[in-house]
Amino acid sequence: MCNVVAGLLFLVLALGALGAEPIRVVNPWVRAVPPVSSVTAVYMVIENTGDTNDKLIGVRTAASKYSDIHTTTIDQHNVASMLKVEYLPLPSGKIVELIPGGAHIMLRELYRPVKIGEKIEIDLIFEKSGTIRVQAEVR
Amino acid sequence: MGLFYNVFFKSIHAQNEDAYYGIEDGNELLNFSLTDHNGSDVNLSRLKEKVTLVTFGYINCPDICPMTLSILKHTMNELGSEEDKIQVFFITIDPENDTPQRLKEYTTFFHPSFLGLTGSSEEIEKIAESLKSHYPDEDGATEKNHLMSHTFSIYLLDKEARLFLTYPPSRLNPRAIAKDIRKVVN
Repeated sequence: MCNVVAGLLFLVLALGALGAEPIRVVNPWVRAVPPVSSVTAVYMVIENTGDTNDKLIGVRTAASKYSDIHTTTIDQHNVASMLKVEYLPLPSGKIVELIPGGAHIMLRELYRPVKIGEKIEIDLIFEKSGTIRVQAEVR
Repeated sequence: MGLFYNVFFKSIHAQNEDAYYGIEDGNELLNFSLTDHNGSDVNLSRLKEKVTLVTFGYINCPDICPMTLSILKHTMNELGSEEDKIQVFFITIDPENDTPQRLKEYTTFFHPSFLGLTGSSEEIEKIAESLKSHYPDEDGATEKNHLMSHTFSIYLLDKEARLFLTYPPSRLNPRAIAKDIRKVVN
């Protein structure tokens, strides 16, 4: 009997571990921009709760022709510069914030204007965790 | 997180009641000749009609420019019935691509009173230099290139059209900026 209980417990724990996503994406949102602008930015908080480091290596969306990962840096003269990066490191146990004036996802050549309140479907591609689909609200 | 914290929490708590939140200056501006998005001339004497807030940017800017204009929109909201005492100017650093009509559509999206300014590169550079604003010499923001660097600041000019206060990235709290504006206009 004890063996059966222990076996079931092991099974439950194992299934739980399989189901637990190490990457959590919180509060994804898209900056509302006027229709005359063909670019916007996407922000969110990404938490890597796993035991291994991961990377955000790509982004896909049907909302724009291009979607790139960028960082914005501000120098000592307060000059802001954007830099396209190949990936965003997501260290194990850390929270990485994509925020205005910092790291962000840039959507270039929007296929149509974004509207406040609508949700944009975005696939985030992680090196180890695969693809996670999020709905980012336009604000 | 650092920038966000500075902008929205730390800076406003650190504010002395008598001191200005913006960094005080007093720089005189050189005369310049630009055009607003309605086709009217804007020069030094036009700036003396109201206290003005000035910022630089370009339409195909995904991060900093919409953020700055959103901060200015919230500043206007904070001012409430006093919002008509100031004028916000958004000066393009990409005059080749940012036509007056496009500037109008862009700036009024954030607030109906905001005015986009354009002109020759030389004239834009003149006012940028007067405000100690920098933007490296780059090609325009084409479809392939959205990476124009520029100073991320808001400038408050008094009714003598002097640079009175500068708001760098660490000082962009709309409520605190609105408080400064009330002190300057009243």
